[in-house]
Amino acid sequence: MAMRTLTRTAPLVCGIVLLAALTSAQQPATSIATLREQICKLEVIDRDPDTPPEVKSLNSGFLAERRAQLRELLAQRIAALHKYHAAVQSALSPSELQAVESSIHKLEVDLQALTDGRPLVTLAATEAAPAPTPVTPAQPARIEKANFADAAPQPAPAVVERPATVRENSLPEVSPSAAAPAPAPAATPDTQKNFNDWMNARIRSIVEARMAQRSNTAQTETTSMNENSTTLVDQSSASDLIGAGLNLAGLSTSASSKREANSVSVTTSAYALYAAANNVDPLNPGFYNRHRAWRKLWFTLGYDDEKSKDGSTVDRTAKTFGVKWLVKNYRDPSRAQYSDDFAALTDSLANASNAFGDYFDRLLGAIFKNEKARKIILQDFKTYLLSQKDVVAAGTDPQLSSVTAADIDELVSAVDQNKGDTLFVFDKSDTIVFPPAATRAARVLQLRYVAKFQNDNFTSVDAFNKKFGTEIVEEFERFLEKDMDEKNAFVQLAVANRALLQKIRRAPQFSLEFLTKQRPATGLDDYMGKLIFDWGVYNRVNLTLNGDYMYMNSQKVGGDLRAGRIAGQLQFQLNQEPGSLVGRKPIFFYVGGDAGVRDGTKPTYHVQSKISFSIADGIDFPISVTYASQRSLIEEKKVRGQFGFTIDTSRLLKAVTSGLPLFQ
Amino acid sequence: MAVQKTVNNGNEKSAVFVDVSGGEYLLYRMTVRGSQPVFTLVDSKTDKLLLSNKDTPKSKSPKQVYERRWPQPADPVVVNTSHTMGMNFLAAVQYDYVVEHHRVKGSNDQIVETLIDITYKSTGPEDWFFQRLGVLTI
Repeated sequence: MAMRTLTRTAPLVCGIVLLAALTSAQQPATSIATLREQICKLEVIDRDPDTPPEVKSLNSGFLAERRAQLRELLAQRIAALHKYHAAVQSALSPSELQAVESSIHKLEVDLQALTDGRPLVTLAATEAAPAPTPVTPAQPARIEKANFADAAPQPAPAVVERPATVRENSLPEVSPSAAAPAPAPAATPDTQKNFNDWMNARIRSIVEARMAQRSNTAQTETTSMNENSTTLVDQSSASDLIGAGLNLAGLSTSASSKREANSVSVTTSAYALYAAANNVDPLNPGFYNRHRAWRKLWFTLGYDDEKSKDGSTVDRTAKTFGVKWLVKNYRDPSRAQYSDDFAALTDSLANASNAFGDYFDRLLGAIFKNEKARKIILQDFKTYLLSQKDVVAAGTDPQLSSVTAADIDELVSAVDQNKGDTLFVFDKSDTIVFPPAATRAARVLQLRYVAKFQNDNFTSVDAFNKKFGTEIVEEFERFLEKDMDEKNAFVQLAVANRALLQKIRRAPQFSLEFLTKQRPATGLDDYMGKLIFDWGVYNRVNLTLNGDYMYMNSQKVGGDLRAGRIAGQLQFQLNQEPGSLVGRKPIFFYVGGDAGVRDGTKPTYHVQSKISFSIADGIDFPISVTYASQRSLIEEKKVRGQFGFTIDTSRLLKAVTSGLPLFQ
Repeated sequence: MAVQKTVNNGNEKSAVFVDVSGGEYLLYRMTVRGSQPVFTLVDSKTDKLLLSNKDTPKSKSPKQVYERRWPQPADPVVVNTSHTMGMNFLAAVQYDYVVEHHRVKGSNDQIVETLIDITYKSTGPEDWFFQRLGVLTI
């Protein structure tokens, strides 16, 4: 009898092992068709009542592994087809689209059957059946409603003591009516993400943190000394690195054949030069904060096209040189006065980080407590256990050094005998608890599986929904919204962040500037000294005041001129920048004016309004309209339009690089 | 301005099993760029702040790097928890976050696996981001 069993078992074992070896050798290139064929062969052995138990056990491990592989491949293929369908929808004819949808449907039917544990030979037959009516993507697996309130069986003694963390809120009960099957939600960019990124997006959308705009007084426009500048006032600081201003010809110029007047200026901070000279990343926090003094000094170089008296031609180009010293800068985040605020912000971030992890703990516990999900999980666990037998036998994994094949068999048996309620027990705080009698091997294998489960299933919300149904995630989202209303760890973070941002932005700045315009052709040079004061009057409202004294040196005897000017500007941020949600950029509106006196002339004044759009991060587009008291001041018309581009390279650098080679 | 996340070499694990009793540990490393980085690494089950910008950086030049080994002798260890790294971009523009799974055998300390190696960038002062790692231990 023993001999007969042996002679019957040996070829079978050899056949299965050979099949397994062959297929594992082909693993990288395994296709859906190949896997299907292998599974069909293994299923025949699995269903054969004459197959000895030991062979069946071996076979079932290989079978489960291939079914899992096929599930994964099918999910990938379905996702690819959905993507293709969305991309070419407008390019294909109705019949072609139907063919694509039909393919998707067939694959989804296969996937569903695999998920339900039905044999593949049955579903292979579905391929021969007439193509079903195309369905919408992601037809959900019909599973029971996730009930977050369902407590898992609680073993009396908890082996692991959870530190004193009290949960204020419990996950919501699910009403019986909510158990109806929910329609499958369409895949969205968010649900295509992994769970981590999806949860970030969901929380962000709930919080709708409305932070104020970025640094609003770093000047990148050409200086107000230039004829073609779009600004009447200069601001107290400039970009931390390099700022470039480019003002194009005025909108009011008349003859297109004439040379247009432009002005260009480039401002760089001493800090940028110093960092480059030291070959240091200028955004290294230590270097940045240690060399604050270098960020107090800027240099400007540029040119300005100037027109003839009648405004008809550009008759000369003046070179511009300047230096700006930021005497007082209360807007530097590294100042000691903000250290308490940053400490408080760190505390808020810690609370929010804790809440983020807590949400994941709850989600994980909810999944493992969900009755339908547990069925799938336990089957997956069995597959995993069987796959670990070889690893244990090989002795290559130190984590499994205390695990034996008998330990694995015991757990497999627990799954087979429907003793799953002793496995993966999560308590009310979603901590895994083990019965006191649980061996180290049982604990290790379960914990390793829980880690593997997350790595396998938290990579895509869509894939998770396909496997476990949409109910768990939908219910979790409802819980998230409810809990965040009550707990507000993330809202508190947003509020703390915004408060500090506004505090920094409203702090005053005071600077001195010296500019000169050199006109070698005429010998008439300008020298200007300037006081600049910035102050955040109110949230999103900034006041800038300038006081100038200009000396124009002429080669003609008695031709020197002196002039004085005061100017002011109020800057309003029209929109409250919600930031990443909708990608809206800040829009600024300015109202300003200046009044000046000059030797031998009547006092003059300008009034200007300007609107500035941020086209992209670091690139702004200002449009201004200026009214002057004297026609000669703005050429042929009293009202003149002007537009230009400004580029803030430090913002560009931050946006597009992680550190240019120059700064590394 | 959304946070731009770049996963390096495909290293983004959701969870890890750490055999603490077998000499295994996790090494968290955070490299920061910007004026005032604000970040926190928190254990959700013990509520313990494991690492933050308030700690002394392991190195300041050429890059400012913070590092933390977990668990340390005083750290409470729970069978399953989440370690979440939160990052704030108010006055920081980039974070490079790396988590390594180590095993010590005798005097030999080897990296079992790099679990997370991700770069986060943003110029939006209103931005923040969280990266969670499930940690299971025995």
